[in-house]
Amino acid sequence: MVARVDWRIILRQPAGAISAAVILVFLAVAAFGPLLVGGNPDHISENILQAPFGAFGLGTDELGRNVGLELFYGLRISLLVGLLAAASATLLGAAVGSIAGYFGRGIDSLAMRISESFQVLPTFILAALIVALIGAGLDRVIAVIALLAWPQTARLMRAQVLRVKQAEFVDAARCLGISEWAIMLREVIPNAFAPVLATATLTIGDAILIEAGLSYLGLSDPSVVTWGRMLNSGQRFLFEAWWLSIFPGFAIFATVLVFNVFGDVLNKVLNPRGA
Amino acid sequence: MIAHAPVYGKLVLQVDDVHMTYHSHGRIVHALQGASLEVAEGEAVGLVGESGCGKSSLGRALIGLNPPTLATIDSGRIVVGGRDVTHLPERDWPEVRGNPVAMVFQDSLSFLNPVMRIEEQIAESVRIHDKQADVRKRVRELVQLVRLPSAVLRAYPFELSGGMRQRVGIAVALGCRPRLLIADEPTTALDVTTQAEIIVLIDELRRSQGMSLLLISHDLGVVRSVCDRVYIMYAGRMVEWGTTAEVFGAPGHPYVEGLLAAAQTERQGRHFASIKGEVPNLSTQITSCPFSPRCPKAFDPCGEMPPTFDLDSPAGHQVRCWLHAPLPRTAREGLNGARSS
Amino acid sequence: MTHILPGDPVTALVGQFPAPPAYVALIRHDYGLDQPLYVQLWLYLGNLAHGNLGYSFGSQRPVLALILQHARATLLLMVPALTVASIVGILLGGAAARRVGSIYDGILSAVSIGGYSTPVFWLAQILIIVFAIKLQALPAQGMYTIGSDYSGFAAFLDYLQHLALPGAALAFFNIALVARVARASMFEALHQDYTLLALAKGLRPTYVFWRHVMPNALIPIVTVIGFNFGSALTGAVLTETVFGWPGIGSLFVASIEKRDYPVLEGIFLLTSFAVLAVNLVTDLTYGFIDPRVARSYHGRS
Repeated sequence: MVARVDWRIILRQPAGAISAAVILVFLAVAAFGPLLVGGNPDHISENILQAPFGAFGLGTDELGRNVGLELFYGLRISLLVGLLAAASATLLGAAVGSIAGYFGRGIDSLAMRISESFQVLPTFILAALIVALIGAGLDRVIAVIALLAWPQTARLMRAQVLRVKQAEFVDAARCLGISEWAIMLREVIPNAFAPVLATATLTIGDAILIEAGLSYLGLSDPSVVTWGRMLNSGQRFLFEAWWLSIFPGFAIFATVLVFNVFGDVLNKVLNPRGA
Repeated sequence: MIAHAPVYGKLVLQVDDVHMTYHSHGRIVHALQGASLEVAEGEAVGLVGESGCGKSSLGRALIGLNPPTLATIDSGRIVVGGRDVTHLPERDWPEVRGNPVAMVFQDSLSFLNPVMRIEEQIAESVRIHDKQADVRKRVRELVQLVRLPSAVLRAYPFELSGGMRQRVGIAVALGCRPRLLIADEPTTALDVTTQAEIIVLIDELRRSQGMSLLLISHDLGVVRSVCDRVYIMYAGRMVEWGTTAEVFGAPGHPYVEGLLAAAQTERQGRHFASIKGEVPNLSTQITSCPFSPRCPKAFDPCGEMPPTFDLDSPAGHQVRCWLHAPLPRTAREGLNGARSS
Repeated sequence: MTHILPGDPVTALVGQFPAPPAYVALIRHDYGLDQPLYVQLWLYLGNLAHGNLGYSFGSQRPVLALILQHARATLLLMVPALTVASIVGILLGGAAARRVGSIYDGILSAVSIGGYSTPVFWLAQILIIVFAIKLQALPAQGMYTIGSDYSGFAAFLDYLQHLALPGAALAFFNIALVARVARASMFEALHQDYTLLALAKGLRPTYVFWRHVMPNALIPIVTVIGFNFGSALTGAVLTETVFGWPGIGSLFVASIEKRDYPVLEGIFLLTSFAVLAVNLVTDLTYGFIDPRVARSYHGRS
């Protein structure tokens, strides 16, 4: 599926190349960084609330933990949540959308009603509500985000499938006696999938923001370092320790930004329209 | 200055050897490479050519609708209603548009504002160009002139058929009380029966309103039925012009011969006698005669340069083709001498 | 309805005190928690029909009244912020649409994506740090100065001062969103053929812009703004938390901490209803202002 996308066009644009490079760097750092750098972000010390750019790197928080280290380890979590949530949402959405679009009629109506009802709900509030009620494990957060993000992908996939299934090669495949399911999986979906990739990338950014919001409100896994939780602490010490807010927030911003930029480039390449 | 028209009446339009280029993304297209034409008061003149020959660019240039950042007129003059508009700044164009020159466009679905009622769109023309008039009354008159029921006034463009929208486009143009009406492919987007209706309408209105008409089209039949004189355009310049009887009856340029042959076989339902080859790419300035690669009658001088002066065809009208140069074909020295002058 | 889930609300209510079983039973009975589940659901729906959302566990006050009171504050934040954001977004997007490919356009697009990627609560914190702490220029908390006794115009000014920072934080994200849509929509409208015809009639470019281009361009912009309401509400909730703005957001967060289920359910229901209502209104408005859609509602011609 992915092979039908022309990567060269994407990489030829400066925005595309730079954002792709940065994403790769982030992924590398998240995967291997902690092994190389070592250090324990949860290490509580007595050097509490130390200012940055001194002896303590980017400063320490109210429990003496090193902010720089926390940022480092937090990258893992953010990327994990973002990628997993977006992947699940995309898979689920693509599956539902393809089936609804391809087989139509009853299944289609049902699927669309369900996705529409999800669309109306204020997603973040619902997410916060659910996490508050079922507990704040990381896996639950990912599941909740995926649950709220799939309708958008489903709709897009459905529209694409509707478009592609009218193409002639689909009829040609039918004439050869290939089963409907096989046609959908091998002919229609690969051709319909490209725009969904762009949306999926943008969903990564959304997922990271939602997770950050949830942790900021205190609804995160307390055993895990996340950037949102750091902002939660930062909130309490706004007057004394600005570094507890500025740095983690900037990390969130930067990460979401590169995914959004990349997703934007993908969008322009895969969905050419207007400006 | 090249006089093309029989010298009766004032000239309402003069285009004199205009060279125009488009610049975009570092690429240059030589849209017009020496276009000239004239339209006198009360005349109907046709401008014929295939897609890409520059006729639409010329049409838009006459009303100042080529984006100034992209299109530049490098040389030549355009005079509309006695006013030199060659390098007219954008802010002065509203004085020229509508009156003295108004335009009817090709496909009025995209050319009419989809969220505005028909009545309002016609009224806009009237309000600017007909200040004394009772607007509502005048709009009704115009709608009647183009043979539309007054019910269309309250409608929106998408509710009308192609032919009806085209009539609206004509009404909009008439509302400006123009001296010169330019119709850019007015029938191309319509089916055959509607085409005939519209072209007849345009012709009648031109006569009854006393306007001049410049009809731009690739359809020879349409031009022949309406126009007194015609210009044939190829690769951004005029290759033959004269009265329609002369040009279509006894064409001098091989390209025109080819066009007529193709049109005729199409009418007769026979297999197309099409002109071999393709229209030249206008990104480069062509130094030879632009038609020579496709021309069945091309000979030596054609490949070197096109005629830069008008030659008389046997029928008496003007043509730009070496075939009609009053020199023996084998007299190379004579041609060499002509080239260096 | 939330009784299926873990966390006994009564324990949360009663707190750490060792309560005599009789007292606990009394509370249970009061709140109807000792009835079978389906009876509770039935009672809840019945109450709902009468506009009764139950009573807050924490404050003993009717949930509906509580939420509405906080909703007023939220609206006082959202409405000005979103209005300003929409107007600014349209202006910026429109300016960019006329200069596509230029440096200005590039900057706007960059800022747009940036704004779209910024966590609103972080932006809020930055604003506080810069303006309230370092520069001491604007207040950082609340909707009005506590303990003050302003009235009339002075009270209004006080409100404006407090609105400045949270309003800016909330607006930023929405400006980014609106500007993107506005740019695309206006670019498209500017290059439509009907602008050519309008100019060909001799109409002045400024007139053509406002009378022909804008109405067409606004249609998609308005629909986007309307359908974005849910996300704007989220932004408001988060912003309120940072600034201690006494709106639904603060109520929501406080209720989560206290496991105040009736209030949470009430908030969820009302916000869903609000988003649904706004989406419906947007849908209807779209049908109203685009005649192509309006006419087809009345059957094919």
